[in-house]
Amino acid sequence: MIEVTDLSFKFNKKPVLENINVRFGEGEFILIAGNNGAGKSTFLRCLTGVLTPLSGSVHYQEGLSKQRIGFIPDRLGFFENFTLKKAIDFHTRVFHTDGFDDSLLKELELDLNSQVKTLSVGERTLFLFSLIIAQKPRLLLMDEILHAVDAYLRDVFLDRLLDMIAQYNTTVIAVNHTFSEIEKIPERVLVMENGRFIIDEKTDALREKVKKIELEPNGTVPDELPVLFKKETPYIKEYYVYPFEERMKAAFDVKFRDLNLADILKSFIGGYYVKKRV
Amino acid sequence: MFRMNIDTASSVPVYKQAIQAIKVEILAGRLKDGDPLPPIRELAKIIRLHPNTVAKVYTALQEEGFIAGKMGSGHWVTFKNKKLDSLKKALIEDEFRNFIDRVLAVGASKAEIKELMEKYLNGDHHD
Repeated sequence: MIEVTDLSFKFNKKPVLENINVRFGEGEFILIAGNNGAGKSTFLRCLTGVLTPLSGSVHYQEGLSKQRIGFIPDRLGFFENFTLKKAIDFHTRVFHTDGFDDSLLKELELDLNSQVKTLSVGERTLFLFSLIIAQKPRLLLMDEILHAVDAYLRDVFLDRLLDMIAQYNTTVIAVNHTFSEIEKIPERVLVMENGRFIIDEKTDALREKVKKIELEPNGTVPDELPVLFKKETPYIKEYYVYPFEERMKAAFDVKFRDLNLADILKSFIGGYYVKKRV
Repeated sequence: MFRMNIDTASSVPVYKQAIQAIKVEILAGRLKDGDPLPPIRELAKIIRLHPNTVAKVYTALQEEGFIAGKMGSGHWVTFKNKKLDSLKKALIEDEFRNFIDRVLAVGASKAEIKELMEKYLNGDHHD
């Protein structure tokens, strides 16, 4: 579906993306995580074509028209002074869509004659999403907007998202969506750090490779264990082990605990800040 | 089957957990021979899994003879799997072993376990 080759990008002469090579397949649901400033949003914007890379290329599968790519940015400042009705008409013309499904707007009791700027962040996100659904998207790029949407509207959003995926086999690339409702969905996870992907794994494989050890305050962890990130308080010591291997269970006298995806990603992001301090 | 609990902090892949959860419903008799299963896109929404993952779950259950059907035209429970009884026994033993492991971890003795078992099975624990 998308092939990214040797992609680099600089902002004010400072490298933001460095020589990225990655492929995304049709129908995949990909989660991209990473610390603030890692380059995730810039990467998404290079995929959409909003930003032109300094070097390298983004190649889409043949026949994929821009009209079938949806983009939800991290800040929504679109059609501010338009009424919803006018925004829908405009969007229909620009993207040549045939027929807008207003069931979502009805569900949220949004008035077509109100202005876009009067909507809450959550309502705006869902309004934009209903416009994108009309594009019958084959690719959806989502920046970390859902964190600003309340829990109820997020549920509404996820229902529609799963419907859309089932209907159009949409490839989804989501940045930093790590809250619990969504964490069973992504099949592949990438972690970005300093403009590069340091992790690119199937979610199931990643779950097997990161474990946590909990120790008493006076406990010590064997030197040979690869520790990604640690957290110490006067009451407990926590060590995040990566890459964990099954043989470690027999080799070390400690209990390796499974982690949920959010904690796994947090340990990678935490690992970045530790490296920065050293 | 709509009580399917999936533990996101488990290293058991979510699709395997979903397969297991549906098997439990069938083995426990809560899903009966011929009962329809939700369409893939509906189950995806109910348990918040990717539709591709749900499709994978249905395919696996079909290969094991627990369900029948076709993508696009619906799936239903079938008792084609001749090993239902032995599977049920294995499942009960699995759960039992987990339970024993947990009470032993809390520090129960074998005698205490036996005593409590009697008490709870006889239903006189409401005092």
